[in-house]
Parts: sequence; C-alpha cells; structure tokens
Amino acid sequence: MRRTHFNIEQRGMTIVNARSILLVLVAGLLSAAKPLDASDLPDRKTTANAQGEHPAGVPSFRRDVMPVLFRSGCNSGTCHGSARGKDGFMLSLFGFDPAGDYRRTVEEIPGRRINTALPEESLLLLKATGAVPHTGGKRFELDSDLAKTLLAWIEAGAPDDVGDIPDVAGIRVSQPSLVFDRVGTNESLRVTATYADGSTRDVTSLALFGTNNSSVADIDAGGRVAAKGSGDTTVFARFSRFTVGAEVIVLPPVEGFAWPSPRENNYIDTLVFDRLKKLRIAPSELCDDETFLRRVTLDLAARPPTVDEYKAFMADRSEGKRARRIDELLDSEDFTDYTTALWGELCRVNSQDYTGRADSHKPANAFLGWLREQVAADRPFDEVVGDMATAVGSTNVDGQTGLYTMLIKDYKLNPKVLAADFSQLFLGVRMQCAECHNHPFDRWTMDDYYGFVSFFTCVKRKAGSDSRDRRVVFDPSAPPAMHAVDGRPVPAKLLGAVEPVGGEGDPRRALAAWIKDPANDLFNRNIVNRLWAHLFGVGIVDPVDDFRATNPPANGPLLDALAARFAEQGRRLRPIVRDICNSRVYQLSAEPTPSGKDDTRQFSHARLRRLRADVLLDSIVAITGVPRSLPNAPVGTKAINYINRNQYYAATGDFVLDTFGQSPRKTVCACDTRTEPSLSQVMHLLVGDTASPRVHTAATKGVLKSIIETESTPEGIIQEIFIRILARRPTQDELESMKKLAAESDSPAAYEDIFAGLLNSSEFLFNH
Amino acid sequence: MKPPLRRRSLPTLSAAVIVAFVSIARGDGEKDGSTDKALTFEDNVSAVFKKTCATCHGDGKQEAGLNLSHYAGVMKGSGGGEIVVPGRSTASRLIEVLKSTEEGERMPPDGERLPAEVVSMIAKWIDTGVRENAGSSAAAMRTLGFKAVAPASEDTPGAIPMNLPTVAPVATRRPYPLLALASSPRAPVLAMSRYSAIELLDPATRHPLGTIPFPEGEPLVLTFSRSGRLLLAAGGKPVQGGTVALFDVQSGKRLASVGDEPDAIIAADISPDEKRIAIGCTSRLVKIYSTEDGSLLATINKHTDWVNAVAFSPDGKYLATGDRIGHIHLWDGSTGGVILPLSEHKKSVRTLSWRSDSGVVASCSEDGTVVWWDVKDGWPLATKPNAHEGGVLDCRFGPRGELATCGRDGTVKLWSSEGNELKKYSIVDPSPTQGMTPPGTKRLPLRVTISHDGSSLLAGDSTGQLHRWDSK
Repeated sequence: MRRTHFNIEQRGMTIVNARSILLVLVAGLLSAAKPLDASDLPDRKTTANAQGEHPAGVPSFRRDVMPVLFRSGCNSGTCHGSARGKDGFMLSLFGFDPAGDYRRTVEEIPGRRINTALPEESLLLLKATGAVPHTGGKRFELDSDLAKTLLAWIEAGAPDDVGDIPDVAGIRVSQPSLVFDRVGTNESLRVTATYADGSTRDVTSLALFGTNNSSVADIDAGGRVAAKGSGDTTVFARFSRFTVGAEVIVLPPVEGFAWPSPRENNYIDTLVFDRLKKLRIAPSELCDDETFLRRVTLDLAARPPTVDEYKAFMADRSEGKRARRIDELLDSEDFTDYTTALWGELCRVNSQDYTGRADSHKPANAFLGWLREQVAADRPFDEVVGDMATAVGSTNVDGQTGLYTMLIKDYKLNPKVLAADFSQLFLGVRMQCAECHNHPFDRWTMDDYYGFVSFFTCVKRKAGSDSRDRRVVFDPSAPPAMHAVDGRPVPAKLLGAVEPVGGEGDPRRALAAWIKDPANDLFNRNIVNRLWAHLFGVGIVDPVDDFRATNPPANGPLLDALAARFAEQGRRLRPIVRDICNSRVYQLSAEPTPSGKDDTRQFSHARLRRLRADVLLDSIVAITGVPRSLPNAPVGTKAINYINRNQYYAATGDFVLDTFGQSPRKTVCACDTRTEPSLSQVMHLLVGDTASPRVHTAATKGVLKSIIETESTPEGIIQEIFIRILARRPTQDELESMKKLAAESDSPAAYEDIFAGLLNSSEFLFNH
Repeated sequence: MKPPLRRRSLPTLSAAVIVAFVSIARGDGEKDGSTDKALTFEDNVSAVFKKTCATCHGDGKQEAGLNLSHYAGVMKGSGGGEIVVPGRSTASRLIEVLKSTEEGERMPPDGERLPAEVVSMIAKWIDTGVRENAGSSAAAMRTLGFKAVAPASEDTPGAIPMNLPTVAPVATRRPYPLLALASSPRAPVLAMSRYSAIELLDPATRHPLGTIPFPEGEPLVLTFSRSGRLLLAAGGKPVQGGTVALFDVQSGKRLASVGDEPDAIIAADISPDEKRIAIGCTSRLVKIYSTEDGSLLATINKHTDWVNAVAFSPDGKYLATGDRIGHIHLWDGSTGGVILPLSEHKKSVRTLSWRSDSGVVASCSEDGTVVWWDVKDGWPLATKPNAHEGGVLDCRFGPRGELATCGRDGTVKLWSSEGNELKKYSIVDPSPTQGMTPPGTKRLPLRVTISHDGSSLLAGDSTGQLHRWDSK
C-alpha cells in the first residue's frame, strides 16, 4: 500500500491520522485540505484492499473490475455476455466493449446495479454474492478478493477510467510445458499479464482455466494442474482477450517400456518419433508390402491396386520399390484427378451457382478444368490460390473466377461469408465469431474480421455473355466493411496486422501477396495439415479447418517442419505428399503396440479409415469391372470426377454417394465429407443394386468368370479373388475354409458368394 | 376478482374443518399460555417465499402453475394440486419438497437448501392453521382504511405540509441519486427522493417543508394525486421487495400501502379519482390495485419486458404504459381494456407524461426521442428524434402544456406546447467539485418537473443535487 502523507490532493486518498493533518497544516496546503467528516473516515475494508498497483488506490474499471466480471463468468456467452444479455442485463462477451460495459453496469439504470451511496446495496454485488435471487447463482463470497475489488470501486463512486488505461498486451503462463512422471501429481501455473505500457501483473486469481482433455490433465480455478491419466493435452489460461496454452504430458509407467529405435526414413520420422519417445509410446512395426501398396494406391489414386500392379510390385525385390511406386502414383492421371476432386469439393464446384437454376455447366467445367490444369502442372499452390483470390473475368472462360460464383452460392455476394469461407478454406482459420465480438478462443479481433471482409467488398458479379456466364469485376468505388460496434469503415487489413494494406486498386492483390509472404505461416501450415490429414485420417491440427490458440497441433515441430519444407519446395503439393508417403510413419502397421493402443493423435500406428463414398464406388466398379453411370454424366465417368449437375437433386446428385457420406458441397467445411458407418450403408452393400448385381455380372460374364476359367485349382481361384478385392493373398486358414465352401456346393455360385462376401467385408471398406 | 381460497375435495374439507377447530383451540391456548404471536403468511412465511421461490413461482413466472407471491396462490397450489394441507405439514407437498434431497424433486432445485429452522417454521405455520395474517385465522380481505374523496374544486388551494414529524436521515457514503421528483399540481410543494425518505420543499425557495420516512428503501417513483392531497411513493429494494405507499401531503401520514412485489416497483401512478393505483413491474406486468381495499383489480400481461412507465390521464379515461423495449400501450383507465399500441421508440421508454387536458401524452426513450402522441388516434403529433443525445431520461408536462425533459447529454430542456425547444440548461460541472463527481463519473440529470404555477423548472441529478431555473 502506497499512501503518501503529503499528497492529499490525490483522489481516493484519505487522511488517516493526526500526523498527516499536522503535516498538511505545516505544509500550508490549507486550500486543498477539506474538512474531515464522518463519511470521509477511512473504511477499513477499502484501505485494507487498496489496489496496490493502481496509482490512486481506486480500482480501475478496465484493469480491475472487468477482470472480476470475466473471472466470475458474468460476461460469458451463456450469461450476460450473450448477444441479448441475460435477464435484462447485458455485458459484452468476455469484455470486448469496455465503454459499453461501463455504461450498462453503472449508468443504464441509475442507482440499481451500482449504488454509490450505499455500496453494499448495489445489485451487482448482492446478485454476485447470492444475497438476492440470481439465475446465475452465487459467483463468489462477500469476503472474497473479487467482492472486495467491486466494493472498493463502488465505494470510490464507481468511476469510469480517465485517460488511457494501458490495455493488456499479452499473457504468459509460468511454464509452457509440464511433464508429469506419474498420475496423481500436481503442479501450479501462474499467469502473468503484460500491459501496453510494459508493466506486468500476476493475474492468476483473475484468469480462467480450461483443459482440452480432462481425462489426461485437469486444471482448477487456481491454476493447479492435476495429472489424471497418461497422454498429452493442453491446458489453457485465459485473461482479457488472450488465451495461452501449456502443453501437459502425463507419462505412463516406465516399467515395461522400451524404445524400439525404429529406422528413420526422413525428417517426419525424426519428429514423430521424438514425440512418441517423450510420451513413452512405441510405434508399430512397418506394414507389409501388400498393405502398403493398397494404402498408398487408395490414398493417391483413389482406387485399389490392379491385379497387375499387385503382381509386379510383389515380384519386385529391389531396394526402394516403395519410393518408386509412390513416384509412379504421383505422376499418374489418377492422382491429378483425385487432387482436383478434393479441392473441387472444398471449393463447392457443381452446376448450381447462385442463380438457383443448376444449369451452370460451363462455369463448373471451366472452374474444375482450370483447377485440374494447375494440379497437373503441380503449380505452386500459393499462386493457384492467389489467382483465384484476385480473379476477374468471365466464369465461362476464366475458371479461377469460379471461386466467386461457386464458393458463394447465395444470390447476393456477401463479402462477410466470402471472407469467412476464404479464411477457413485457405488459412484454416474460422473467423465467423469475430463478426459480433472478438474471437473468444483465439487472437482474432473484430478489427481483424472486418479488415479481412474489406478485401472482398470490392468484388461484384455482373451478367456475362450468356445467361449462365457471369463477369466477376473489381469495383473501385465500393466502400469497405463497417465495424459492427461503432459503424466505422475498416479498410482492407491482413489478419493480425495493425495498418490497412493501403495502396491503389484492388486490395485482393495484397491478399494474394500475403499468401506467399514468408512471414505468414497460416497458409503453409493449413495446406500441409490438410495433406497430412488426407493421408492419416486425422490432421496434426484437427479439425483441419479450425486452427486456433485453443486447438494446438498434436506435434508442433512436425507441423512447423512440414510448413517450412512446403515453402522451400515452392509450395508445390507433390513434394510434400512424397515426403509424407516415404516416411516410416506413413508406412506403419495399423496394429498398435501395447503402449500405442490408446494413442489417437500421435501417429504411432496407422488409423483405420473408411473409404470415401466416391472412392468406394470407383473401387467396386474397378474390381467388378462393371461400369456405373452417374446422373447427367458421360458413361465411364469416375465418381471422383463427378460433380452434381442435377437441377432437382440437392445433395451430391447420386443416392449411393449420399448414402456413403459424400460431401453435398453445402459449405467449405471439411466435415461435410462423412465416413461414419450407418445401417443403410450396410444394407445397401448387402442387398442394394451397387454390389450384388455387379458381382453377379462378373460371375456370369465378367472378371470372375474368366478367373474361374483361367485358374485350374480352387486355391488359385480363391487367391485371385483375394488379390483382386483385398490386394493380398489369403491366409492359410482363409484358404482352407474357403476351399471347403467351394467343395461343398456348386462351384461358380460358391465363388460368387466368396467374391460378394469379400466386397462386403470391413477389410475392403477400410483403408488400413 | 377474488380468487377461490378453498377449493378441495370432501374428505380434505372435513379434515380442514377439524383442523381449523383444533388450531383455533390451540391458538387460544397459546394466547393464554404464552406471548408468542401466531405464525402468519404475511408476517413470517411470505418473506421466505419471496426471497427463495419468487423467481420461479412468482407473479412473473409460475413454474408448474404455482404462485407463492400471495396467500391465495399458496392455497390454490400448483398444477399438480394443493401444496399445503392445513394442520398437516406432514401431508403437505410443500414441506415434502423443502425437505427432499432428491434431484428433480428438491426445492429450491439448486443452490443451498433452506435452513432446517425455516422449514420447521413453515411446517409450524401449516400445523397452526395456515393463517394469512395476524387479524384472523380465516382469510379476510385486507383493508387499507382509505377513503377516496372527490377531487377538490379548482379554487381551493392544494395541500401544504404542516408540522411534519422529524425524521433522522439515513447516513449514506455520498448523497443518494435523486431518483424521483414530483411537483404538486395544486400547491408550491416539491417532493424528492432520498434514501429511505422523501423530502418535501418549496420549489421556488427550496425551503424545506418536512420529511416523510420510506423505510421500504428507495422511492423510485413519486407522484402527487390530481387533487394535490396525496403523495404516492413507489419503490423498494432491487430484487428484495417493492411497495407503493400513499401519504397525506398535509400531515405526512402514511395512509395506505399497496402491492407486495419481489422487486422494487419501478413505475406507479394513482388515478385522478384516487380509487386505483397502477404499478409497473420488472416482472413485465402492470397491476391495478384498488386503494379502498387493496385488492388486485386487474393485471395486464401485454408487455414483454420491464414496465418502466405507467400514467393515468388527468381525466381518468386512459392508462398509458411503456416498457423497456420501447413499446407503449394505451388502456381504458377504468376497465383495463386495450385501446391502442403506440409504436415509435426503438429503445427503452423511460417516462410517460400526460398534458393537463388529457389530449396528449408525451413519451421519452433511451433512443433519444421525445414523442407527443395524439391520444385520439395514436399518431405522433410531434417527434423530436435527437432531443437528448444518448437517451432521454425523463419528461414532464407543465401546467401550460410546456414540456420539460432531461437526458444523458447532461442537459435539461424546456419545450413549448408546440414542441419547439425553448431553453436548454447544462448541469455538467464546469470544474468537477470535490466529492460530488469523482473523476470518471458523470453527473446526469435523472428527473425533471415543473412547479404547479409553471414558474420553476427543476431537475434532480445522479449526485443527489437539485437544480432550479426560473421558467417564466
């Protein structure tokens, strides 16, 4: 407590003893010395709680009072921080609007919430301490520090802050990483806030804490971390608009664990194994050649390996055959088709643009064709995105303009939706929250959001050369987006930047340049993470399009290394895919080690992944050799190349694709592609017209018939069927039991049953 | 309307009769044997319900159809039937849920349970006959002992306080904000709110005329009856209780108290014939009480947010009500029938004020707008969209149709009867006074009024100060 006896003019100071009065008199400061009366006598409570750090001893609204509201959950989204407030009292979510919060708390209803004449009677205090009925219940005790801060502030007249109060510039936790050697131990985190003026303050008692996985580590209101179960997770501290995490590792018992020291193929292995070793998780064995071939072919070519490919690969005994196979697949048309399809899906390409007529075939072809050219040429992906971002021209001719008619299918080109979709798709950042309030779990502010929206306010769509053609144009006269709180225009500004991009002409050029900026890692990290997630079934950051402070990567150095390598390789897709596929981590078996069986996010073993709907359909067609036509598409069109051209059919355009969870392209979210199993999927494969009629055709006049005719022994026939469908030879047990089946009944029908059975097996439905 | 107090099946009825006898006998015994007063709803139980149960089972919300805010509601019970069986606490659902520890059954559903002694007090109240009040064991209608009188003729002067008893002021850390201010329409008497008290003074000289205690808490509304004989004060303590009181202006005597709300009453008015009181509540209801027997005459549940303003027209034909989302409704002043919605305001309506001829009602709102409404058809005669930047806090007609307003811009304005701005006064400190407005706090004019003869314009501010200007 710093109470200067001389400085009696200072607000909130009270002359407390005769000596001070004497000093005052001696100093001759009579003009400033006001007579003492009863109400001015020091209140024990106040002086005992005088806010040591505040120069005038009076709690500051922004610095001291708002953190109380934050810590007590008053301004959280489910309480008074909701957009409409709660029970008539509204606060800004997590306090993004201090001026408004002051007005609503103090001035909205004079004398009610804040009673400066009888501070203890203030409703704010009575409600929070549970002295009167409160929907939110009791938030803190009357004798708590939180209550004392509120009371001291109200006793001082509940003043608003005068002049500049330094804003919080950042927070940090005492330990960025905590390692617990065993379950049941604890450790405490302290949280320190740094203010814009450089001062710091321990805000542990005012911060909020959370954990990403409470079964690994829990954190209490005082910042104490408790190890609950082995694994790794992140705990968070939140204060003001900042959230910082601390990595927590809870180690499993050391007994019985031995690091197997697997061979490392490249940097990916080094970084994943580093992490696994730290977590005491042993990676699985390398998978066998059969599994590798099927896995990599499905992942890169969207189909199972052909019988010829299988035989050639298995016959090859030379060193480096896996790497060669990867290169061959990367060079194939299938890889180009598949990559085009994946990005086409995310960019929502189909014949339904914003006119609602679903007849925009030409623009859809132009967009998809353009994308395919870029992928085929392995063009640097930053340039691809840059071209789309800055596109102007005809949607019939200039494919890249499709971003502005396909991605946004609303009749009105809403720049907010466009900005949100663009950042989610290409930066992996979901900005939508910041439309109405600063992002509660990330660093993005409303300024960031509206600045980003302003990149797209200048894009307009006009009628083109025919009724389906649109001209995407740059409108230099368009005003920037308006801030939702104060209505001021926010010129185009890059995420996290302070100053607008400025300059003349189309601001989107600055956006395209930023994508390539070495200082901007959002783009690189997002793209490599999407590639990783495609090959592993789960991203290093997952969901892949939700990068935020509270969703940190499972392996930060790995993501950094991949992003750096991506930049170094000119941001081309194929080199990164090649690196990943060549890593031992990609080639691990799906069978976990004892220490790896609970691991779901550190890539200690391959993950079972159900085939995407389009890949599944193409695989059935490839295996049975019986084509399937898709609505309004030429015969022989692969499902991965198919886009919905149907006017009346809203989802994917094909009911089988719908059943198996193909993305209906309703949003840019990667979660639109679903691979969860359902009963209708099982029933469809068993009795629907996709599998059984094809198997029957194959048996009566197709591939199965020729297998039976070519192979002389039942063993040979069964083995050929296995290779064709599952890309592996049968085990001895399988062979014996199937031979028995074939011997018992009419042979061709038994082989048809075996064929159909394998096609319905989980082994076929999954990539493993 | 008198709600049915006893409506139960035959066996219970006979039980009740027996119990009634028993309790009377026991009551007599108590009178003889001890000085303990019998437990009653009004004295003992109501306060518990109000504090603990009113959020869900009050006038605003009746979960399970149960309203514990008044005796009749307790006796009527919930949708599931009766909750008290007179004389048999063990058979009373109320006691069952208060004692229960089972999730889904226990009451209150979350938070701390009622202390055992409170539960046993309620049980004892049931066992001793479920008395409503000290007057009788059977429920009898309350009477306020108040007789309405015909408005005094225009010639006789209005009441002036004389020889009021002295009241010790409640010590507060700093002056209480001037939340209510009213001027007698007939006499040089000004009433202004203090904490737990109402001060009366001469509007021109500010000479004090006396103080009336208001122990219920904060008087949020002050208004004189048309005759100038009565002063109405409404208020209470936020989320703790609210009441309306009527005082005789001349003697300062409390004549009646009406209403018993779980929250401070934020709007109130008395009809010109002094027979009815309308109150506006945070429970979104408008209630109209009889001043003669204190009975609830009508409840208006049209509003969807706090009812911030209620005002009877001087001819008694209309009642205007306004709420916190900006809606105003006009009702028939005697029957409560709906007449017109008045929609113009985009934000909270703060005050409604009638012109003395009852032809125009003025409304002011946090959206900064003042509207003069033509009552005949509900159209705005005049609209001042930016009367006070940031919001208008109060408006009040003077005797000659002039309107005084004040707002968040720190100014007090006087408007002509045609709606033109005549005068503007700022109350913002030129140099902040020590102790009055600490740095960072604002001095806001909260209430305005004009004296009965139109000579003084008065405003009360958030630091408890009264301002006066000559308005002639």
